[in-house]
Amino acid sequence: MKKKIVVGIIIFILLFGAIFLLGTGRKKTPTPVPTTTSGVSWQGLVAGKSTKDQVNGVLGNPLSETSSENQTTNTYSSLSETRPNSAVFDNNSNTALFLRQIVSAKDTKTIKDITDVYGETNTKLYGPDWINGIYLFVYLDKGIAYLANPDSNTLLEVWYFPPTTLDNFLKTWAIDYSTQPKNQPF
Amino acid sequence: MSQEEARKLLDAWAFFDKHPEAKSWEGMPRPEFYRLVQIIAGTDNLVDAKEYFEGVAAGTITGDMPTALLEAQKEGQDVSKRLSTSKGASKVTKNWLAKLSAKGAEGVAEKQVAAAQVQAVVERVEEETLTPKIAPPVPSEGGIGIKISSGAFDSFQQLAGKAAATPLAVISLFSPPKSAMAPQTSAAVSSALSLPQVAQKAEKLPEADKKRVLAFVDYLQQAQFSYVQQTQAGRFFNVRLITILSGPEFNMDQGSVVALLGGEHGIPERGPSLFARIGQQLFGSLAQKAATKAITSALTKAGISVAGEAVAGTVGQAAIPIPGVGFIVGQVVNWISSKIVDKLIEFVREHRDWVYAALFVPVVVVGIVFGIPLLTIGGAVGMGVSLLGGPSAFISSAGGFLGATISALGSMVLASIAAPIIIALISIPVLVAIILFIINSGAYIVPPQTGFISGENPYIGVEKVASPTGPFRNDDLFTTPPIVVEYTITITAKKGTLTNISFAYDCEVIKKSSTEDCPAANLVDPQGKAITVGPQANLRISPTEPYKITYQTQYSGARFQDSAIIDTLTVTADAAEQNGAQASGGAAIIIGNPPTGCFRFDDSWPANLKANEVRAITELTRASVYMTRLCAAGEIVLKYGGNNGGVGGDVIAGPNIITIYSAGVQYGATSTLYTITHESGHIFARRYGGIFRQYADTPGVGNILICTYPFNNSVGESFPEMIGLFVANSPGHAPINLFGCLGGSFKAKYPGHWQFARNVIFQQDLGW
Repeated sequence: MKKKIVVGIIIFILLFGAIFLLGTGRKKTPTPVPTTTSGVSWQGLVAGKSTKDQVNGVLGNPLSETSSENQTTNTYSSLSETRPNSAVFDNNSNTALFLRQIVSAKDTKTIKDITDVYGETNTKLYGPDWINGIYLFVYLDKGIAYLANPDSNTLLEVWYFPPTTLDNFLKTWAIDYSTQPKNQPF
Repeated sequence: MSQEEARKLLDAWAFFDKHPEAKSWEGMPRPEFYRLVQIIAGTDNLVDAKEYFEGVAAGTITGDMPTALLEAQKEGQDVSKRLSTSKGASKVTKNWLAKLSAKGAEGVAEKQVAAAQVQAVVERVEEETLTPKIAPPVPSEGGIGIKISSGAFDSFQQLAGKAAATPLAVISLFSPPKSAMAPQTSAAVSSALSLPQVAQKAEKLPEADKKRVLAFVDYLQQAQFSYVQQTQAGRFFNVRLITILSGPEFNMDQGSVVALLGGEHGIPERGPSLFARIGQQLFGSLAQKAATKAITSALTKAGISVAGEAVAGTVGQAAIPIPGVGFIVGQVVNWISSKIVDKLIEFVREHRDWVYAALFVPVVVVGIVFGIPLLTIGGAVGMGVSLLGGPSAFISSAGGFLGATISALGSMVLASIAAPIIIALISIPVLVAIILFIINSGAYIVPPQTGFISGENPYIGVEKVASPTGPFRNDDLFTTPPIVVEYTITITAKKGTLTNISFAYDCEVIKKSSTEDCPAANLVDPQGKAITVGPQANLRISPTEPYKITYQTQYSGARFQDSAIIDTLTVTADAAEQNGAQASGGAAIIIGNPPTGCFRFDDSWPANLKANEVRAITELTRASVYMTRLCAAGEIVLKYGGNNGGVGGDVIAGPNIITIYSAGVQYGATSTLYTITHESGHIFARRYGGIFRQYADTPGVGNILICTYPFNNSVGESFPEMIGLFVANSPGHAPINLFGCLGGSFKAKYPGHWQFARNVIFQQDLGW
């Protein structure tokens, strides 16, 4: 009986220890590396600089708002009926960390509009749709990326973020992407 | 094995070849003999086995290790177990062969004992090798198909059954289930023998068989209440018993055996675990005696679903290669069922108080995390009470009638609560882990299996080769001599001699705008003698002597310009274990620019599979608008990638290259068409990014994923899936299991996608 009581106490201690560890050691949402420079502007909005109010003022009322411990993601209507624009905000500073512009068939923006301004980039990333010829072209030092099918000159999205490193970009904003195609049969 | 012993075995072999009706030689039944020689030779191929014994008999092969094992060892395989089995079989065989010339009553008795020893070894090896055979599912009436690795999908189904079975088995510890008999089992149960009837009939059997059957009856009665007993099914339900039950004394077919296993109240009574185990042996062993359809029918008759793996095993032997994933998962599931669950149950029984205490841990955690003191305190008290001897002891210690009453009630309530929680603790993590495993390993396109064009048959092999293979230019039709193609068809008996053989020949010329007859084909046998199609009198094909047919065909003149010519030879024959077995071999040649669109075959294609692929592409070209648009950006190279497990195809080799694997081209017309169309859809998406974007932006289309692609689904996969379904699910195509989730049809299930495909991509009805 004594033995069981001792073991019972040990279990309680382990239990509370586990709860304590879980509480303090919970995985946090990755926070982008602080940057000193701002990225490219989209309708006057700049990732790393514009506030939530400013973003809401330009993109309209959010369609949805999803919050985590450190960040909040809002979606906004776009010209696509199925793919909304989105913005990620830092909860502490209330500034936009990342902006995603959806380019639908109704938009006039093209790949050329981007490459004419920023030139070609060597950073080409492979994501879920690379098998359909869609890649993410990233200008890390400028804070802009575009998702497109270059074979058919089709632009799908433009991403805005504070200039950063490739490593950090992959960890923070492009977790489904890699520098090499994943040889997964489809 | 000595040269003399090898010669004796070859004599036996020759006897069996010359006397197809003979059931045994010197007391050795034919099936056991064929199995024996394969075991000794370390192979599962009779041709290799015979070559080995011929080599030993001729003195060209020496040493202890059979050639097949030597080769396997060179490839890095661990052959120690197979070698040990081979040596064991060899030893008893030597003993048996040595006693063949024994005379007198005593000698005959010794000979019989020696033969029985050999059979026992074969039987034991059979039992050891039967259990792990887990293979893809049975093609349904109209064919089946799955989009993931067939092994993964099948294992998932098995897992669902076993995961369901595990809790049931655990529950049975607390209260054995009394399931109502399903209506569809009525017929089988009512026509089946009861256990007492089986026991009664067993009395008339020879002593050894009688003991075996009675032990099984006893076992079945026990197994109803014991999960541990159920896990030991293999010990009681072995090959010999199956033979007895299916023999003249009992005359039970598989449905009857299934019903017998189920008991008075239908299958679930004795537990799915028992049935799953016995089912493997039952259907594994009897598979060679029955057609797939008959087995499916037997299962349907008995209303069984948990025996899916057993049926799968049957067909796995029949036609479909065993995929690695399915095998591994099957092994994992079996291991978990037989090892962990049993041990858990025993542990729970022995440490009931600890288990009860553990049940309160989540309560305490929830109480702490959500700040509910009542739960925290209640949980802690529960743990304490459990550890101090359980509710019964604790409350009883308070003494008195009331205490005892509460104790009894408390135990019952706790037991009833504990059971499902234990079940959840056991089964949910296992289920989740294995589902994740399957998901991570199964995101393949695996074509459905239906209506084999030139699929493999377990008894007959038909390989057709065209020489030269082409492709030919239209100009070649007008040269002297014109195009002359020699076809060689090799027919192999895979398991025993083929008799009652019949040939059927079919040929078609595929052209864009007209139909043409094939030129005459004058088939000749290996001796150069003309063969007419139809039944072949007195022809027998031995496993060791493949039968070759050759013929030459001339193609000349304008009528064959821009055509694909596919001809097929179908062989029907009686094999040792199946009458009317059928297999086909086809070959295709291409002249000029046949209606294969912009698809260009590279030279990696076997003739048989190329014929299947050409046929599928020919059908796809009927979608003329789609093909014109697809091909406007240039040719698409079609590579054959060989066997890649369950993977049917991919387009990862390059932007204009489609690789088709064996699983994507050998499982039937609809399957082949579906695979090539889906893969072409990826290239269409690449070439027409604007249409892909339009698809993604269309409400009710781009935001709804298509169910027939169950793993790693995405907009990028649903787009080619839509294209594949618009073609391969259109009216006139054999239904396949893969499309089962559509319910009726693609058009009915996804009207938005269908409309998009019709109006934006195909601009044709294609028979819809």
